[in-house]
Amino acid sequence: MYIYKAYNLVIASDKALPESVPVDKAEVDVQVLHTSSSETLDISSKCFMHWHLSGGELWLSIANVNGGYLLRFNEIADFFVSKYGKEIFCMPKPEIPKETIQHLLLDQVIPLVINLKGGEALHASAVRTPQGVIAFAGLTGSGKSTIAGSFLQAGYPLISDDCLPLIEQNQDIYAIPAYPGLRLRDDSLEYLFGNNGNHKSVAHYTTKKRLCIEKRVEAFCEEPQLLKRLYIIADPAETDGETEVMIEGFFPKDSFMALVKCTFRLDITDQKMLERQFHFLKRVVSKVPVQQLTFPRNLNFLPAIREAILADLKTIKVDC
Amino acid sequence: MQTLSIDDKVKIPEGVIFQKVGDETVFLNLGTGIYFGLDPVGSRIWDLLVEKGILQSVFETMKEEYEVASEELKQDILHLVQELQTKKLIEVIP
Repeated sequence: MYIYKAYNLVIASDKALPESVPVDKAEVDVQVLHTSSSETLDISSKCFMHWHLSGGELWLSIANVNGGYLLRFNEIADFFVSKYGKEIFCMPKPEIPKETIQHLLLDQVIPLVINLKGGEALHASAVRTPQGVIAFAGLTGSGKSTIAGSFLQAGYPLISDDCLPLIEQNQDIYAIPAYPGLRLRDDSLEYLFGNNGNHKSVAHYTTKKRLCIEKRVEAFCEEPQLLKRLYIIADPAETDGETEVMIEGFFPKDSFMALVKCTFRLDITDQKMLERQFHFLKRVVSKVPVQQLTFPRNLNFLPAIREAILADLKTIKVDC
Repeated sequence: MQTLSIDDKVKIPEGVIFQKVGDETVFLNLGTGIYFGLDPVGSRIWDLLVEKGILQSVFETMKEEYEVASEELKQDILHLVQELQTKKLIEVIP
C-alpha cells in the first residue's frame, strides 16, 4: 500500500496518488482500493441526489447502498464509500485513464468523505500570506484557482485548490492544507507560469492542466494555518464588462448564505450533518471576515487583483 | 394557503433551526434543506414572533420601537410571516 497525507487525512491506497504527500506509516484514516467491475449496479431506486453540469448533462448521482454511499460519475466511474468513510472502493469504467480516477478521488470524492467523517470543507482555493491564510470561493469557472495561482507565482505558498477543509481550534478557524497541486486552464497556466512543461493532464474530460509543485517545498504549506479572510468571487455572469477590481464587505447573513452555497455535503438528507454544518458556518462568519471580490475577466488584471487583496489585508487589525 | 390576519398565532415547526449572525438571523429547515436569512428589522420581528407567538403582540411592540405608520407595519409583519410560512420556517396555529 502507498500511504499519503492530503486534507489532513492519512490515506492508504493500493495505487499511487503522485500528487499527494507520501508519509511514513501512520494510523490510516481512509483506505482506497481499486477494483474492476463488469456489472453496473442499478441504483435508480436508491439515489437521493443528482448533480448536473451547466449544460444539463448528468454528472454525479449519489445513492444509499449497503449502508454506505455509491457515488456514480456518469459513464466514468463508481466510488463506493463505506458508512463512516473509512474505505473507498474505486470502480472505473474500462478505458478511463488513471489520472481521471486520481482526480475524481482526490478532488471530488475525498472532499465529500471529509464531510461524512464529521468535517467541513469549502469549495475554495487558498494561499498563505504574512497576515494568515486567505481563501477564494466561488462558482465553478469563477477564477478561484487562477487567483490562487497568481499568488503562488508571486511567492505565496498554496494551501488548497478547490477544496479547503476548515477546523475550529481555540475558538479560531484554521485552514487545513489539501495537497500540492493546482489545476489551471491553459491560458491561465501559460500567463502565470509559462510553458515550462511542469504540468500534466488533470482528466480526460477537461483541458485543464495540473501544475505540479510537490517537489517545490516553498510552494506548498503543510501545516494548518489561521484563516484570516474569505473572498467570495462575484458570479462572472453578473459582472461581465466590469472594468475595475472591487472588494466589498457582506452583511453577515449574506456571508453565511455565500458559505452555504460553497460547502461540501455528501448526504443532504442527513439532518444531524446539516445541523452540525449550520452551526459551524455560523461560527466561521462570526470569526472570519467575508468579502465580495469583483474583477474584470482579463488575465492582465491579475497583478491588480493581487495588489487590491494585499491592500485589503493590511486593514486587518493585529491581534493582541 | 389561508389568508393571514394580524390576530393569528404562530409557532416554529420542529426541524427549524436558527442563529443570530451580528444583528441578522439565518435559518435552516432541516427537513426541506432550505436556508434563509433576515435583515436586522426582520430579525427583530422574528425575535418577537418567537417570544410572543401572537402577531398582534409583535405589532404592538414593533409600533413602540419603530416610527412607522400602523398599516405599513401591519402589512410588513404579515408579508414577512407569509414568506416564512412559504419557506416552512413558521406555522400558523389554527
